[in-house]
Amino acid sequence: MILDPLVLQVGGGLRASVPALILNAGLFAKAILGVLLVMSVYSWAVLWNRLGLYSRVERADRRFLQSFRRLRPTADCRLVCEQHPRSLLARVALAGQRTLDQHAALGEDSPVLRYEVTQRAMDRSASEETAALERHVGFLATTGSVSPFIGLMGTVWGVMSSFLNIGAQGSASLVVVAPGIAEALIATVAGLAAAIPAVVGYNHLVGRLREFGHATGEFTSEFLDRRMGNVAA
Amino acid sequence: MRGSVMGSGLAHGAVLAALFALQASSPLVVPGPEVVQVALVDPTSTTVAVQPPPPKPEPEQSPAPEVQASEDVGVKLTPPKPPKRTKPKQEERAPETPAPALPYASVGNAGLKGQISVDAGDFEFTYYLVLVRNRVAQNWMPPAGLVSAGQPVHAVVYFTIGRGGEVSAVRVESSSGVEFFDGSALRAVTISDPLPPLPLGFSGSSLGVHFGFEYAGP
Repeated sequence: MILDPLVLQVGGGLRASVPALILNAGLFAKAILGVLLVMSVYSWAVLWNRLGLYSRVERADRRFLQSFRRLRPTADCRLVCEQHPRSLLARVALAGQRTLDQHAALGEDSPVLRYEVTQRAMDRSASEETAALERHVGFLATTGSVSPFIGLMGTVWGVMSSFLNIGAQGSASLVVVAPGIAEALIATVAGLAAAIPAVVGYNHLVGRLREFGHATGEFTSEFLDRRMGNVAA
Repeated sequence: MRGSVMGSGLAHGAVLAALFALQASSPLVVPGPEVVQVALVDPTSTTVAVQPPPPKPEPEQSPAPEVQASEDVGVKLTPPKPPKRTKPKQEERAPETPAPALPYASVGNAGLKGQISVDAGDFEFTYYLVLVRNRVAQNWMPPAGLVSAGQPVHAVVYFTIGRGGEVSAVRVESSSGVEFFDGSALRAVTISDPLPPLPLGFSGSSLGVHFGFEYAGP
């Protein structure tokens, strides 16, 4: 005997968009997204801040070098150094000039010793100043390496609960599985979005820091040559 | 540094707001599967002979393979065509009772026939009712020693399913007269808790279900 025809309908008309996925995500996924947002905000802040700082320092360095090279070799460079407070090289030069003056006032040491002591003082000052420039840059490396993993954790969690959902609904149709998977993948997207700029920025900043290191090394030898060129020989 | 953090936070907020504004204006609509019409054929059934077969559905009968593919493989990603509704006709025939969403059919392992009708008139997720019927039938055990002597024993249990699938307000709506049978029906519903969550497309907060148990001996 034939019964009444039945209308079987599965799902139908599912509305999905990225914001809706984020809003409907579970508490764990939201927490992951929050952590990634904080990391992204801070790493962009570091990137912005350091880029501005390095540009200012480089400009000040160029101006300082021009002024410094116009000076006579025996003239006191303290005034020029103090006119360029932002310049990394000016601070290194100031440290060298101070050491030079101290030992000149004592007048006991041999010129070779004064040369070496001045060089060490300038190296010390250069490494201190470079360390100040490097501050916070490590966070970019942390973000670049860790945030994909955090995102991945969110995704794995989401996929896991999605499979649990399949078990609960007793059906593995696309309608049941797909939203959960899409929701889970948002975390990976967020992790990558935080990591990629951080890695690019970190490599760029490290390159600029290396240039600062070279610049201070070159400047130290230039300073010593101009001030005490006759001693080293 | 604090200024940079605030600036970066504002920039992130702006980007997220733009993303939300852009995406919210054009939501993706994932098309639902095509509506599949199937006919349940129960050659052993004798109880439904009371109703004469409606003349209209005869020409609409789907071929046999479509009956086989009813559960979940009947999903075709072609644009859905307007479903042919046959429910209003059913409501015309039996206006005093809620429209049976699933008629009597043999389910489970022990000669049980199950029937489901729901309170919500516009509930169209029949696949969900199939799930509920199978789950309850799985948990039903025929009471030991029940001999029906040719006469089917019949009871209706009413319960409501919450959004998360939790079962509540279980009661016997129409007793069979056999206390054991009523008890076994209640027990089958109670131990089926929780049922699968209600379909996402269903807007109500809960679904009232009339579950008919019919037993005609093993």
